[in-house]
Formats: sequence, C-alpha cells, structure tokens
Amino acid sequence: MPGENVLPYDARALRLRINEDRTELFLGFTPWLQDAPGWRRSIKEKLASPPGKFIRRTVWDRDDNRNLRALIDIIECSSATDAVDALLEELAGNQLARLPEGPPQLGLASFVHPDGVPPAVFFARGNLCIRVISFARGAVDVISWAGRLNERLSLEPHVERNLLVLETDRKTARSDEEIAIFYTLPWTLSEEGYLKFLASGGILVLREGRLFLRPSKRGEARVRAFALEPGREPYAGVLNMSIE
Amino acid sequence: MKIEEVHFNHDTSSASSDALNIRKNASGGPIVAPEWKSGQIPQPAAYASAAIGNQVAIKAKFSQGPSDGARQIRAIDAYLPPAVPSGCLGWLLSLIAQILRALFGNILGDAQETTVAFDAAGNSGLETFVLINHKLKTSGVGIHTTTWKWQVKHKKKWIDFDTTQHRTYLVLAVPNGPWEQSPGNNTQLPWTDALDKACLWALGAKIMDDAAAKVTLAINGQPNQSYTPVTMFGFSPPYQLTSYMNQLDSGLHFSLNCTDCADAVTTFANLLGCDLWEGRFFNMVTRRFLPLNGNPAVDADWVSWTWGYHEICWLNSMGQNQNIYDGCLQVDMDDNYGDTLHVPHNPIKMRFGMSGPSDYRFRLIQSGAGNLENIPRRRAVG
Repeated sequence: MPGENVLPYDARALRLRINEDRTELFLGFTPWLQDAPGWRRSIKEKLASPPGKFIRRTVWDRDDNRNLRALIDIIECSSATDAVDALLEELAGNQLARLPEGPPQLGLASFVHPDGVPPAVFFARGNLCIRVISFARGAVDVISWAGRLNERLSLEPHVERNLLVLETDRKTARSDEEIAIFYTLPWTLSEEGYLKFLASGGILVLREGRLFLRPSKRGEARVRAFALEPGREPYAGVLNMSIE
Repeated sequence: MKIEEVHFNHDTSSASSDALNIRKNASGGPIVAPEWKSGQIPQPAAYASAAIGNQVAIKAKFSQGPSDGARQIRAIDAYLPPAVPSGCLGWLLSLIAQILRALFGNILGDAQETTVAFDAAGNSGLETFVLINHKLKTSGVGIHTTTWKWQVKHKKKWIDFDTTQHRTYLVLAVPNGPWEQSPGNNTQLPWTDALDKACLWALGAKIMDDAAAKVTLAINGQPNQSYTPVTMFGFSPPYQLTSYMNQLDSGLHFSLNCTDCADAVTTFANLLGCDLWEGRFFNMVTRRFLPLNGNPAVDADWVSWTWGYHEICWLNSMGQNQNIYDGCLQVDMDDNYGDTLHVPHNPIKMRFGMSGPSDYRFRLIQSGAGNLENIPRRRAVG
C-alpha cells in the first residue's frame, strides 16, 4: 500500500491569517550582532534557493560553550502567502509527526519542537519564514532568539525626514491592478542593512526583484518604507495613492 | 624543449577515452582542458573506471622544439622508490611505501611515445598520447598523484626535458544523479570538493556495494554530527551540499536529520558511480535505535522516536524487497528489546522487507504503518 504524508496542519486556516489590508515586506533582513549579546557569528551563507526565494543562513556560537550553537535561516519570499507556504514546507521537512504551535506573538504563525527534542522554532512574518534551531548538542533558548528577531522586525522608528524616495508611475490606480513601487535610497545599504515596507490598503508582493502593491479595496492606499542598519540612523519614505 | 599544455578532458561528450566533465564546487566554474598549463596552477582530472574503453589518451602541446622538425616524445612515471635501510626496518618502510604508492600513486601509467611535429617557431600542435600501463580499470576509488617525466628521443637515447604533476580522481562509473555530465557552466557537474571527501571515504572500493557501504559508514560516523528532526540542508531542492561540507570542515558540532543523511549518502555515493535513490516511508513509532554519535554501550543513548516520516537511501529503486542504506542511525539486532543489551548494526544493503528478523523495517519500526511513499528522489546540489 503506497504511503502518503498527510500533514496535520490546516494550511488554509494559516493562509487566512494574512491581513490583506495591511502587510509587511522585508528585503535583506539578517540577524545582527546586536540581536545576540554573548554570541559570535561563525557562519554567514547565502544558500542556493529556488526562484523567488533568498535564504540567508547564519550560525552563532558561544565562545564559553562549544555545544551551544544557534542556526538561523531567513527565508525571504515574494509575499506573505509564499512565506506561509515556506513555513508549511518547514513542517513537511520535519520528521516529527506534529509540531505544537509556538508563542502567539511570534509572527503570523509559529511552531516549536516539543519538550525533550532539540529546540527549534519556525515562524512566518510578512514575506519572511524564519527558523531558529539549536544546532549542536546543547539546548539553545531558541524562543528568546526568535523573540529578539521578531522585536526588531516590529520596529517602526520615528523618523524626522523622509529621505527614502518612494514613487510610482501613477497616482491613481484601479483596485484590480498591481502598482509598481519604486524606491531610491539616499545611500547603499551595508551587508547588514535591510528595508522594511508597510502597506495599508493592499498587499505587497515581489516579482522578479520588483515591488508591487496589490490593492485590496477602493480608497486610499499607503506604503511606508524604512531603511535600517546598525550604526546608522533609520531613514524612511512614504507614498500615498488613490485606488479607484 | 618545453611542455606547454596537458589535456585530460579533451572530449567533453564522452568519458570512454578521456576524463570526466567536472567543476570545483557550485560557485567555481567548470574545470576545462588544459588541466595543466605551463606557469598556471594545475587543475585535477577525474576518470570513471567502468566507462573507460580500450584506449585512453591525453593531449599535449610543446614549445622550443626543432624548427620545422619532428621528435619522438613520451612521458614516463617519475617515481623512484625511496632509499630504505636494509633489514626488517627497511622491509617495513619499503612495504609502507608500496602501500602508499598503490593507494595514492600513479594510475595514469605512461604516455606512449609519439612523433610530434614542430612549426618554424618550434611550437607543436595539440598531439595525442595514448596512455599505457595505466590502472584506470583496475584500481579502486581514490585520489592519485602522477608525476611524469617528459622525454625526447635523441640518437636512440631518451633525454629528460620537463616534468609535470597531475592530481587524478578515480571513481567506479560515470556519476549518477543528481550529478550530470552535460558540459558547460553546469552546477551539477561533479564537484572536486565533494570528490575530495567521497574518494577518501570509499578509498580502495572496487565495486559499487563496497563504495556505497563505505560512504554510508562515513556519513554515519562523522564525529561532529548529532541528530535533530529538522531537515537542515534542504528538504525542497536543492540539497545544500556546500553548507553541509562547510559544517563538516568546521570541526564544530552540528545537527541534521534523516533527509540530510540520505541526501549526503546518495549524493556522495552516486558521485562515485553508485545508483542510490532517496525515498521516504510514513508514520511510525520506532524501536530503540542508536542515533548519530550515540555510544552503543550506553543504554540511554538508544532512543525511540515517533516519526511522521523517515527518509533513507534505496539501491536502484524503492520497494519492499529492495535493499536500503541508512546513514542516520544504527538499528539494534538484539532480539530482546526489553533489556539493556544492544547489538548495533549499520543498515547497509539491508532488505527493507517486512517482519523478517533481518529486515530493516522489522528492526526499525515497532508500530505504525511505515508505508512507502514510492517517490524516489535525487535532490539537485547547491
């Protein structure tokens, strides 16, 4: 009798958690040294990935304990829906028959390893699927690690001047068409730098490296963007559009 | 006279009379002939034993020859046995030297003498040399170094004029998937970074079963690995081989799961010409088994898991009567599962089976369906 791996997760319910009226999208997010006091980054890799995904892997070590290592994969997808699919893929690639849900504040959805198993947490937020895994023999507090990353993803810093230029080729658009969003940074971001986009009135998607807003309803749509990197004040930009 | 180039992979469409198409790793480009070029860092070549036909040849180019003349040229093994003292110590050192030479020495033999024509400037074209006395069909898996002494015939005497050194991998057959032989900038060409590991793990293997067994044991026995249920190196393709090798080389502890082990065993064994596939079976509570780097003498190291799936390697194809390789664990061959006595056994060419005492399924699964997915996989490498 041929087997079939029926996953015990409600994929549809997870996808329904995506707010189509307010979305986040991140480009280039990676763990910072500031996220990890006491830890040293030993590996930073860009993993081979299928089209539409970028996977940034970092491994963090403790100098005082060789058995404590944390592996963090940031899987950058094209949209929030793709990030949820990436999360489901993580669950499919886990030998455990079922993972319990993780802390509710951790992104759109999170799952953790149960007690007694090498710790790991997986969560989706915006267009990101993030996994934090205890990578050696000692048990790493992966929830704290994930919490610190999630906290930084939540940042909406107050910025005095909008030096980050956000533009589109139209000021009004129909609710059934995608609007290309162009952004210009006042400087080139360092390797640690990342962009955070927030949209209301629609969802943000990436396609072939370009950013689009897919309006969810008529009325006003707004896109805000932040450029963040260690040691530099954040910069921001805003774009308002009318959806007909 | 001077040698300018030596070409090993001079026909990218075939591996019967020359070397395989290879590359260093995912990011480096393909290694193309000439693998040896005067003044440049030499590149390795790889041969597939089973693919070798009646005649193996290299090509070479020379300079500073006689203007509009021709010469007989050949290359012979430059190896000279080391001088050893007499007596038992000398015999022992001589034996060690012979073993090392058999394991790592010249397998290319000699380049048979050929008449080489030179133009007015004293340069030759690309001339073909047939390899004689080679061991490409008889040696086992390995990494070999050949030092050739190039000679020119002058008044019936052979005069040395140059020396070249070549690193050569020998695998059993043309690598199977995920590896490919389509030439060009193909990331699925065999990687020499992976050959460095696979050829040492399976050193001396002359048949596929032996090679697959040695690779399985090597993956299972890497001292810095431990088990976690998460796939660390790519559940969806590609298999993150670069990242896995980085972890192996780091010497630091890292964890991986059954899919990662199945990927590793299949990818490295098939690089040597084996024909393994990865395949899963579902829903089981296992008997106690010994995970990666468990100590068989410590009862607490024998563990049981409830798994939604387990992934292993299959020889040729998947099926209940097929043979499997599992680099992720050792099963307990002791029939009394209630006691603290365990008999560790690496599942190597073990029949998957059902309930027979020598069947893998019986030794691994205590309860649950254990149904086969019947979707054989070979994940592309990245």
